[in-house]
Amino acid sequence: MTTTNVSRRTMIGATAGATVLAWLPASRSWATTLPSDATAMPVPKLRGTLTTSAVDGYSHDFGGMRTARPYAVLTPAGADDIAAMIRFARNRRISVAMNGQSGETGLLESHSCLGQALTAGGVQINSRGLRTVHSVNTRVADVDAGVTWAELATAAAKVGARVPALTDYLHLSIGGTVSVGGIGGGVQRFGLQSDLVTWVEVVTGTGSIVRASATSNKALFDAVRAGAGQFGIITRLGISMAPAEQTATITTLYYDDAATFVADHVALMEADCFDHHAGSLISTDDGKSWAYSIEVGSFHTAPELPAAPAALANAKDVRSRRTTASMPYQSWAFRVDEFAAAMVSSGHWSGPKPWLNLLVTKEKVVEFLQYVETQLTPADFGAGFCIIAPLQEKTLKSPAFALGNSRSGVHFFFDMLSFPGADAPPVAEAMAKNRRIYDWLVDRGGKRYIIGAIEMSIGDWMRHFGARYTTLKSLRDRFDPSGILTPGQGMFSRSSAK
Amino acid sequence: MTLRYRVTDAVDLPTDARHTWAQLVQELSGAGAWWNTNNTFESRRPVGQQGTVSTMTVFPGGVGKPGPRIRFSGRTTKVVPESLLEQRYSGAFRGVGQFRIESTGPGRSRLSFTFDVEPRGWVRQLARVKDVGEEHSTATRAAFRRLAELFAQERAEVTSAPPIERIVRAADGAGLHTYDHGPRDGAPVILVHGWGSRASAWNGVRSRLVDAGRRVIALDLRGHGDSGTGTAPVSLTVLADDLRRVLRALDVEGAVCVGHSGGGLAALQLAHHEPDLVGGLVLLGTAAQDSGAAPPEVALMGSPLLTAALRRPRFAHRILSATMGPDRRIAARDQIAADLADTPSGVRAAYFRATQHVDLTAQCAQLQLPVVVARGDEDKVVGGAGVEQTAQLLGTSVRVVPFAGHSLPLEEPEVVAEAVEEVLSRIV
Repeated sequence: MTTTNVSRRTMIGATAGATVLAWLPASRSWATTLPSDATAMPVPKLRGTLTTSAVDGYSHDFGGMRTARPYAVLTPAGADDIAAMIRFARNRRISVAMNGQSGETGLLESHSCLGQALTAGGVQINSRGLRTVHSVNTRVADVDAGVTWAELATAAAKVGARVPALTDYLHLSIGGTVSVGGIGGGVQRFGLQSDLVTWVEVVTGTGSIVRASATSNKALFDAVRAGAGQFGIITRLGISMAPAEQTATITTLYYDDAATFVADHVALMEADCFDHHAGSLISTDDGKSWAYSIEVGSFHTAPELPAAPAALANAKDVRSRRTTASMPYQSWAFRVDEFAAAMVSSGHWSGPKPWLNLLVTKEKVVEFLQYVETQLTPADFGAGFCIIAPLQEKTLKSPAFALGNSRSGVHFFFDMLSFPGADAPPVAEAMAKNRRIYDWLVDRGGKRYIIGAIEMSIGDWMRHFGARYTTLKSLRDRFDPSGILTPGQGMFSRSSAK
Repeated sequence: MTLRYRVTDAVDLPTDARHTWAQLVQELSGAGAWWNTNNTFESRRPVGQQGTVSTMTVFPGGVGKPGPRIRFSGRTTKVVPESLLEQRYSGAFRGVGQFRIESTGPGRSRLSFTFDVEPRGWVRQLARVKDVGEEHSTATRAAFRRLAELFAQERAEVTSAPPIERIVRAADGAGLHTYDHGPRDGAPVILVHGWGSRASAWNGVRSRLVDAGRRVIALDLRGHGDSGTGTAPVSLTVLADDLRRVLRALDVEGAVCVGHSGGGLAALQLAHHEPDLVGGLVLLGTAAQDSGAAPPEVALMGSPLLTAALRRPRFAHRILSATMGPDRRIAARDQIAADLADTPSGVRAAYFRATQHVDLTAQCAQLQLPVVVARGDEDKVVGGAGVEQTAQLLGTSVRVVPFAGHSLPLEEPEVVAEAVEEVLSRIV
């Protein structure tokens, strides 16, 4: 299974207008004609392209709240191009970050929320230069980092396979979600998307191309999964796959009471029998109070419905509202596409989106819900929604993914995925509210999920990672000693990279 | 029209470069064990010597069957043992063949063959209608597959063999259970577990080392696992004498002695008293000078309540993440807890008491042997400074293992096995 080379060539051709030829250190700029300036440094020989003409599409991100203009954009033809660029950039303190160029057709951008993947100055790498699905079967896939989960899911369906743990929205680069973790409705049993990874090919901050797995270069393997792009750029990876199923049968349960909702969430997870498990915080019709829903589902191939698991019989939801629906698996996997299209046409897609993504220990989650319900209003969500569902430490295998200290080992992920409308509060207010809620949570042993929009100081990051911050810092010093990779995260003290 | 082939085929093999080299030289000298059965190699001397000429015959229809045959000869022109063998060909093919071997890890290597030739004579005519390069490549790959199978089979015979279990009597009569794995003639490694653990904690490390062809001896320290408690009070001197007796009983000298935590102290003591028995050291989470295990800690170790708590996974996680690290839930935790709970509380207390205020810094300063010192960077049992000082005294620096707690043998068996291989490679 290989995508054709034609598309890549076409794309490179399209941006080849202003190919960069040299770097001018005095003015910290790129030259597109070979200058007579004796200090100009010719850029390394690349198989892909380095241009200054496409930087507009790399100056903003999905969050719509930060802009940062890069010096140039590299569309790599392979990991070797990234390695050459990093070796060049390193000595000149030029920052480098991978940009997923994901999302809706015609609106491709980085899907970071607060400029995490942008570089002010520096070089942005177009991940779509690496977009080949090298192989896929029902056990494993071998893909380039710029391939989207949607592309992998489509390629997998053709050979009778599927991805065991998908995010809700699929048009995101695999390298991107693996670099932050990647939480979906399969997290309870299969872990994060970064836990599906069996091996990675990484270009480190020293420009070495390294293959890493649990049994070779394990430190790098552990660092780059959910490592926020701080230790290397993932260029290619192996993903654990599962055999395809034809049908998804999804049951939705509704609750009015937070404690019952939380208890059922945990019981349904512990039943360990659902292929999909999610949940929402819902504003009631009058907009004055809150309710909850749990979504659990099975993927199956026999035409008849699977027997309803016993766990469902014991649930204490509002039975009269419970619904069950079946649909083709593939339609289920791509269910958010319609919503995304609607957001694009209504204009919500391009507005500012101050997403709030948190991880709350089970012990504190009822208290947390009571608190956020006093803080949030339907206007904060706009046309968006708010996910809240459990995950368990024992299925998580990416050590860089930080979780609070929980006696039960169970945590809830809270994702306020807002698409604010005209009535939304100003962005500054929303950001202040995010910060307030985050601080409230941190005082109660919670963490943030590193996607989302919370301004962080180095001190915040130290608190976030706890004792592990020192580990990560020494790995940063080892794999990116010049500190040029993905500066937008702000996890480590600023280097002089631009 | 010039016809030339340059084809490279490679195979990953489950054995080290040394064995791969030996097999390759044997085969090219005519052993006939794994190369294509339609090919024969003949040579008077081993092809692993510069200047040796060997004759290769390919019988496309099969050996002994009528039909054309392709003959060419190769003269060995470059030899770097365990790494490179180059032959120059004349006859039906003219050009160069290079076999390269690289080590890809302990007990693993990659063999590649680059066949860079021009076909001559009637083979040249044949090449117009057949992709001779492709045929060559197919045959080489098939041969490589057979070689990989051969090694895998050999390895399975050794690694799947059950260990030889022996009970070695200590000076006071305590029966020490020892488990002797891997080939008798492999480089010897002895694994000494930490307090409140047992031999099986090394399983991950042991299987990797046995796969790499090492002879691996693990034991249950007195009072631990299946070993008897004995009558002598526990001390490093007694433990070092136990280790000495085990190695003597198994007739082993110059072993790499791998010690985890307190087991590392016993290993240091042994190396100091019996330099002939120990060829190298791997110390994991070991500090030669105890900062003084607090009396409450010893009391806790002696408490049967701890045993009860450790048998409940939730408590075990809380206790061990706080005392041993790392903070997050790890797969190894269950076994760490079970082993600690299985060790009688009296034994735990005796061991922790025995190493209170221990100071082997003088012994460390005198030792001169290959050593690797490692610690998990989230280890909460042994402080980083103590391990650092120990390493310094031994003339090395600490290998800090990221994301790991105190129990390196269970948490990071790969890293431990690599450390052992490194020490082995430095023992001359």
